[in-house]
Amino acid sequence: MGCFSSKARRKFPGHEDPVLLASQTAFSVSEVEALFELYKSISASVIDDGLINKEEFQLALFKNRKRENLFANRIFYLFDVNRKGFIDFGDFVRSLNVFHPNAPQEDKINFTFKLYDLDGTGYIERQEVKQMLIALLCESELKLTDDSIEIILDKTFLEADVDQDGKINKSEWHNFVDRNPSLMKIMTLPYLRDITTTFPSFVFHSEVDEIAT
Amino acid sequence: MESSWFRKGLDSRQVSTEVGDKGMSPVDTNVVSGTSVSINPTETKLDLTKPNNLNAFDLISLSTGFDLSGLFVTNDQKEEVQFTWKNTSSAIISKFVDIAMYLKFKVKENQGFMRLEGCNAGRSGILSIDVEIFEISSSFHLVEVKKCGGDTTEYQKMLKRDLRPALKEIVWAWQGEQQHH
Repeated sequence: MGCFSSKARRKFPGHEDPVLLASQTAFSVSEVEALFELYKSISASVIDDGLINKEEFQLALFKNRKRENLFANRIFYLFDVNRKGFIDFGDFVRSLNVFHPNAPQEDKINFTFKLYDLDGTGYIERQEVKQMLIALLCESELKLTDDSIEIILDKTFLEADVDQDGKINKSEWHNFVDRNPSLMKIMTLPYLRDITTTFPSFVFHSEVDEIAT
Repeated sequence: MESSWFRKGLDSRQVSTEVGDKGMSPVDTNVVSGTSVSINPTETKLDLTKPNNLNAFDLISLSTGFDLSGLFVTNDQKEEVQFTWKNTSSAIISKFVDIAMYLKFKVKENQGFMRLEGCNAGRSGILSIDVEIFEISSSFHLVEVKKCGGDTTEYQKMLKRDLRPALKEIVWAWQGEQQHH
């Protein structure tokens, strides 16, 4: 195990021991190793430096590395836990963990709160929701009148912003999500359950090969 | 009495896999001819006094930027397909009824939610797909198609071979794919 880890750390800065990562997340050791296979291919796709930068993330998500998207940017920003400008393997596993079907609902709700709080003030303000709504309409080539947009915002804030201060705080968000559980749908990736079949890992064999040569 | 196409957020999607047919009534595809269908919704404008409309976050959640399944599978392999439809919901229902007739599938429908069921059991049971219609405005809808039962490969073949070509000229945009209008 030690041999694998130190080789991996040289090529993959910030690489962490799969056993450690498995103990901190809902993933098993083999699932972490399978995630490593996925991570390797994404992190090498534009610059082979063992780290996932924004272009590589966009490439993996949209099959188009130049495609800019407000929401993908938010996800990238949250995955990049220490604001380094790239996602390392530890970030990758720990962030995907929140999307695991077995991850606690509370973690998922907290993640979405941070996701939508664009400027990180600790509140989801109406202006931020408007900005996201407009971005969504743009992306989907949907057109709504300005009035319709305001009506949708009014309606949303009427329900979510209980103290009517023009912004949604964390506890209001929790209550709102309890009443609208479908909002958490984006926070669960059923594909994470089958990860070892989707990305078979040959870690054991490659370690043996490296020792032999 | 008006019937509404509004869906109760996207909750219904989670419920539908647990609760059988959700009170859907079968559409008798033998009786239907051409595009006229004996379902009687009436189009209503976006009426936000009703409790069951999409809220801002339901819409925002639709973004492909939030859809991390792209990390794991290609578009072809995704089980859910969404597209926007710049027309009335009764027009999309008629279209799916036509498709079902062509494929010799049974159709059940209730308030913007349809289930199409094949007749021949494939490897994993009968292929059935769910179609849900979400109203964004009275002439702009989001349609979601997903596999309900049966073999995934058969489902994907059906999407590629039958559904996409049949919808090609009228779909406004396929969510998650670059458009070529």
